[in-house]
Amino acid sequence: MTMQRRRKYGLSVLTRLLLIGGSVAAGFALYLHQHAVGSAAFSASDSRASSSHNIEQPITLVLADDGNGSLTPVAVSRPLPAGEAQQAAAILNALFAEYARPQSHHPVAPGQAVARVTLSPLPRFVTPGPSSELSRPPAPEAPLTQKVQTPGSSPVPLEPGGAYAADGMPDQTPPQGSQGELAVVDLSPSFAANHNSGIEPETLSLLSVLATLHANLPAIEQVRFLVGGRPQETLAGHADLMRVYLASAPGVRP
Amino acid sequence: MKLRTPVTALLLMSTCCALQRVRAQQAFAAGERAHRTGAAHLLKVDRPGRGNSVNDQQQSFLVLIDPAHGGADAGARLSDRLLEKDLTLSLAARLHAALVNDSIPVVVTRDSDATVSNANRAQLANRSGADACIILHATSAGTGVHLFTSSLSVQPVSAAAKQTSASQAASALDRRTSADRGGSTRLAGPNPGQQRLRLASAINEAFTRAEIPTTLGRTSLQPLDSFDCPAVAVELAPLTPAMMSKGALISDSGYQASFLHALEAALMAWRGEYRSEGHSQRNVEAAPEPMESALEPLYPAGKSILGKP
Repeated sequence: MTMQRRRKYGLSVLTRLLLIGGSVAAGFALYLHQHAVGSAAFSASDSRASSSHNIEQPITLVLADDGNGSLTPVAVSRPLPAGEAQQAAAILNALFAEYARPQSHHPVAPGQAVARVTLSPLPRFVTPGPSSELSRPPAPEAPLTQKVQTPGSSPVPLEPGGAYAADGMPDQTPPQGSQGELAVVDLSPSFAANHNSGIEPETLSLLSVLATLHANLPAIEQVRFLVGGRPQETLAGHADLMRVYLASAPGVRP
Repeated sequence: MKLRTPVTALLLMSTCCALQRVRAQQAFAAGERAHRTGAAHLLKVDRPGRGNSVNDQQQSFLVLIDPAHGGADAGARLSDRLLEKDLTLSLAARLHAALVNDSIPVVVTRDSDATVSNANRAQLANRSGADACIILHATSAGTGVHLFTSSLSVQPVSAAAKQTSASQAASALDRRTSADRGGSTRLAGPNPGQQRLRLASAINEAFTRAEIPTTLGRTSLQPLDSFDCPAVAVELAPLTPAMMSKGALISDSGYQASFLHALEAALMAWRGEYRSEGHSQRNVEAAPEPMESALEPLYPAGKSILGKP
């Protein structure tokens, strides 16, 4: 009898334990489920919020052509994020996405070309004295210009109906009292490693970036380049990346 | 049996590369005995027909050829079997031989597959006092020949001497370029900015006559930016299929010959222009000239490639 009681007691304890364990497990499962649903909902709302920021906007891409060395402004529409720096990066990645297309005249490997763009205000120009180096703005690089001639043909215009500047050299005087910005464009290492090597293709890539930034974000006056977050001597063995460049529309009449 | 084909291909590739290098070195040896060894010897220039008088030295005309890349720096991979450093060396050797044959003394920055830093190239160029500096490059992108001058503004010594402390601070900011100048003190003669544009114009005309399409522009490139001499980077690119008569590839010997012939003709024309001026570009104290203006025409009047006077 004692044994039977003990068995009953043991069974009842075991049953209660199972019930409690099951309840806990069910509660935990319910918690996990709700958490997952909540996260998904949050992601969805976040995504909706993000996409709501990426409003389709008209932009200008200044496209290079290796064949004749020309630069052609093309109006397109692309979703852009909020924030000037994010927009600059998005615009430049849209530019290089064009170059990654199969029929591109300035081919680059597909993939993200620009990791990030950082903007900072340019210091006001102070007339330097003998020891005032640090108060000067970064020495700007003269804008690069392209001109094309094919024997027996006219030069290719930079844009339909456009004209070459007779001088081909936009004003390179550093802006005085400027309220402009310096853009630091951080290129991805894979982009630089896979870029066509040569003076012309590398120069055209830089020109294309400078002119595209100038066309869309005129507050950006000067540009310097990093690769993988660090300074690099050249883009792909030729074009100098250690200089500060003026963001401008080279060779195109204003 | 399966391994034979790739092994044979590898052997052929390595043999081709080795032959290209040997050919380049042999061409140098045949063209100019004075440039056989080491960078230190490169400035020992044989000046055909040159006397020792000051006047003769003033009237001399010297060309510097800089075959880009070399050694560890291979440059662009132009094809499976051709590297930029080998092609530029080969082209430099042949141009060198042709100019010496025309009684034009030549300095080269490298005559073998050696690594030469941009600073050393600039030092050689600036100490040589060359009247034309040609930097040879090659690329598989684009078409024809790409001519580039430095996008940096330069100013003659006479104007530079009058600079205020403000501009001294400005030049101090350009530390990298100043260091790369290799201790040069020369920015004499007519406006160096004008000189390089005139040289580019002469080269452009020669290629146009040879019916080789050219693209012209300015760029920021080392050691081009650090050369005091009138300097142009000349980049050879393939021809389009429409120009097949000269061969589409830059490895085509006929195309290379046309390229070198046009470049030789351009330098001959440049020498004629230099002599017709009747003064040494290295010794005349230049009258004060303005800085190369931001609005200065890329090409002088009458030579505009745009057809605009």
